[in-house]
Amino acid sequence: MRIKKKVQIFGIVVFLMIMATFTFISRYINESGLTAVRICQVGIDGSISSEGVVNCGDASYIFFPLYEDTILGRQLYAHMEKVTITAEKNETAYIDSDSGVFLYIIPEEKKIDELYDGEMLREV
Amino acid sequence: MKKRIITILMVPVVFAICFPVIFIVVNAFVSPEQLSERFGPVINPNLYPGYAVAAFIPEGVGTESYKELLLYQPGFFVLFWNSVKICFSVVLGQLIIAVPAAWGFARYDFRGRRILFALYILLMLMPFQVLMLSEYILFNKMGILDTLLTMILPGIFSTFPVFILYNFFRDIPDSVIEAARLDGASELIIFFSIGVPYGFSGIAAVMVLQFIEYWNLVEQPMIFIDSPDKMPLSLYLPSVNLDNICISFAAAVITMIPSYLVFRAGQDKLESGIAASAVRR
Repeated sequence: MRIKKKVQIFGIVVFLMIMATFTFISRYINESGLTAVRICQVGIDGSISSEGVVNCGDASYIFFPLYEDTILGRQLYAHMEKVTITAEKNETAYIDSDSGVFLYIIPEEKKIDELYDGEMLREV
Repeated sequence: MKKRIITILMVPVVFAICFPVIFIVVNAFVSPEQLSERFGPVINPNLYPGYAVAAFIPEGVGTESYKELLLYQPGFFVLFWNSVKICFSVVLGQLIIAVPAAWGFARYDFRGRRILFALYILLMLMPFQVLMLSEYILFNKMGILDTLLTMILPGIFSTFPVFILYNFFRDIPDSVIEAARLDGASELIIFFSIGVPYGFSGIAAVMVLQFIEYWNLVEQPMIFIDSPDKMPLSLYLPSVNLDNICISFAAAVITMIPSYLVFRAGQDKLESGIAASAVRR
């Protein structure tokens, strides 16, 4: 009985180790060759209401489905094809403008704060 | 004969209970194309007119769903580790906070003990919806909105384990504690040498129940978390759409595994804890 218990507890550890291995592999695969971009929703006053990261290199995405129930999610969902086409590395892409809300794609390595410099907002 | 009739009658009931699990496990091995055909009418009726097919036997078994999920969905792992962080932090925190708190309530007489404990019970009886707004305001003031702490802190200071363990510790005969005191044992030694071993099945039962509860957390993250990378795994599955339906069943199977493993590891303690409570009553 004690051995069985140890095996059961060990099972949790083994499972976590397997998941850790797959986490590493998955990140390695997905970080190489894909363009990760940060998507943010910018209000007319410059406030950022939500943001997330998508992989647009091969039209796959990371957090995208979770936005489905939000305004941003619905807008992005409707424009996913456009997102995939227009977003390129090191390029700021304008996606949509709807009732005073602007959506941007900015490169992953660029800080969200940099949006506040005014340049990007003026472009729209 | 009577036993056989009961068995025959019970089979459909058991099947109905097990149906969701069987359904998920079977469909986790179905190819993405088949899944789209089967469930397309539910998720996207315009693209797939007709009715969804709840078939049990897959036309060819495949592991594409697992491959897609485990290799090409790094977001899944972010949420998985968020859930792990939340559950282990809550369980560990409860060990540190709830167990001594329950011991204090059960074994020490101090002014306001009854009122304080009644408050604990009152808090335990309140559903999350009642506390939601006040918690939101509090977290906002604390500046921890949109962090995992919004789920970890209420979990650590949850009143449920205190209430359960209180009954276990209350049951320890006073004579045992007195004997230990007469032998010169300090309060800390009494707690660790008598309280913890005596209430171990209760502690294990509470830990298992709390792990499962926090693994399946849905409401709190929906209210307190905005960033998708801070969400727990329980919110990964509702995000299913036709594009990722192939991974949804595989994700459901993997989501079930930790709960199952923890439950199996603590099952006997959980059962003995429940039995002990029943005997006392």
